[in-house]
Amino acid sequence: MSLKNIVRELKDGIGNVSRRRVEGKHWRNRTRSHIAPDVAVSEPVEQGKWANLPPELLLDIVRRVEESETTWPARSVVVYCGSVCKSWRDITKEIVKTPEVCGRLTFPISLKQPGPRDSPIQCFIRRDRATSTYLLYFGLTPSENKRAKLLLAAKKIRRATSTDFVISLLADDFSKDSNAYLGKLRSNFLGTKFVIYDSQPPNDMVVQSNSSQRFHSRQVSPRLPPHKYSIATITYELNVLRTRGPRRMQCIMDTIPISSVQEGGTAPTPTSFPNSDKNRSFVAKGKEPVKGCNASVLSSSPATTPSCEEPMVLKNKAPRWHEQLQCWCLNFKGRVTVASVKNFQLVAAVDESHNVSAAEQEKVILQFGKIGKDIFTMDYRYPLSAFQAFALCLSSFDTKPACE
Amino acid sequence: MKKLKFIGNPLLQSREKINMSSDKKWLTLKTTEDNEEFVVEESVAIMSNVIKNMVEDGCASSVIPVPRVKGNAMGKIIEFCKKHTEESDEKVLKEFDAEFLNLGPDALYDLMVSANFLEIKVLLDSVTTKVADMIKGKSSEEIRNILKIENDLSAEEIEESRRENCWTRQE
Repeated sequence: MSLKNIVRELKDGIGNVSRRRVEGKHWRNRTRSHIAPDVAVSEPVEQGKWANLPPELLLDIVRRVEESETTWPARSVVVYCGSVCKSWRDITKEIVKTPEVCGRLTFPISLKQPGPRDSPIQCFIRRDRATSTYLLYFGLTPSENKRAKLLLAAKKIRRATSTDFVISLLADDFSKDSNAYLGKLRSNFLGTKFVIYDSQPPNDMVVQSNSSQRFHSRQVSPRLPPHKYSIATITYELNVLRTRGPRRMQCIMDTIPISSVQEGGTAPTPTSFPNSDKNRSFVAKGKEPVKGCNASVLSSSPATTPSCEEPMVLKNKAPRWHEQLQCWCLNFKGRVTVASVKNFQLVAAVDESHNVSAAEQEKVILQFGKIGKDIFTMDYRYPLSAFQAFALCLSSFDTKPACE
Repeated sequence: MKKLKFIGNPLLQSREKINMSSDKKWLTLKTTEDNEEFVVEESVAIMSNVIKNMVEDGCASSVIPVPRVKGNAMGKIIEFCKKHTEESDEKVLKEFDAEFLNLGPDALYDLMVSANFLEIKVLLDSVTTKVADMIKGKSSEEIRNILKIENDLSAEEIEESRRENCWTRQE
């Protein structure tokens, strides 16, 4: 409010007082809600003053909460602020930044968003052999004093010719019909090739009228279940030294273009889960929308195949042979302490034509390794999301004799 | 019958005596909602950026009408500003603020919107911090109960928030 307006109001104020007083207490609610969010008058819900706070005040309060509660479990209050009422939800969602920007995980959708560009987000995985489940926690290592935040859960289901790792938000719910279901990792019989499936369609498929696309793909390949989008392929190859050497890993990330690691590039960042048609809106953060090269889905509907941007390929960093220790070594910077064939570091596989800076090429995008019995660390960064990183790590668990 | 509140030396009985004390400047603030008047030192009143601008621009007459702020909120605001003008010890101020802000949500609300309107940053920061502290560690339901907020989320938003809450709660 400008000073002129204030002065004018103050000068007029005295004359208007008696009028206002006659109108009684109701005017107070009306004028106080002059900056209230757009709630229809016909709405049956009577909102109190705290729901109709001037936006700048609500922003101030929720921001203070968000900035002070940066670690779990205290951070849960930020999610709870988002569930209080509509105005609070809108403000909270506006305040919370993506992991890429702030390095923190807040709402579940942040598990589908790329990690920070510089320091990785550090997690650990606990394997339970008895139940064939794998639990991903946020935190450096398990601690007796502090309960770590459980991020994702996976369950291994062996089939006749393949193995599935079902990935869910909740450790007690692996049903594919549940809204906790995020996707899965499927391996072939030999455990040499894996595909990551996402229950959420990537950017471009949303833009191109999702329902018609699914209908089309159902016609052509009726066995393709709905809500299953292939987003990455992982292959393991034997080293030429066979069992005496580390295996080679290659990951084709169909939904992440190579441009994401080029100068000024961005990676797809969904802002919500697809609950209904209304929620199927993604922020296309890249300069061009990502054209998902989903071979298994789009190949069956050629009419709608868009021009693909080249997908990013990750490969494992080759370990060096340590003559004295007589073993293959990688510098895990203290985050991996037990030798295991499962341990790996993934970097972007690029050549000169890709125009990726040396600094970016050096960055370890995903690191996974053992620190104890059934405990592994997982550190990931941009452009991978926690979901993608977790799925990539799970592939390392499905060890088969052919690969070792 | 006008109520005249003297915030300052309790021994002073009338406005004439105040006007005669030449080393301090005094202002009268009048809350137009309920016609309460407050006589305040200018140095205290100008903690409000709004009043400060008025004084500097020469707009402040003998009585400054203040809309939107209730009498009891104004009294508390002046008490706060006076303390913060007189006291420089951080520790003492901190203790004072903690005691001062020991209020219910309704009183805090009035204080907050008034401090916002009058542009008193120190007070606004203290109140919003206090409210943020009240919220920490609470669930959505508890927040709603404390602040008397109705849940007006759509069915879709409720489903989304249910998933978020389940995930948030699990350990």
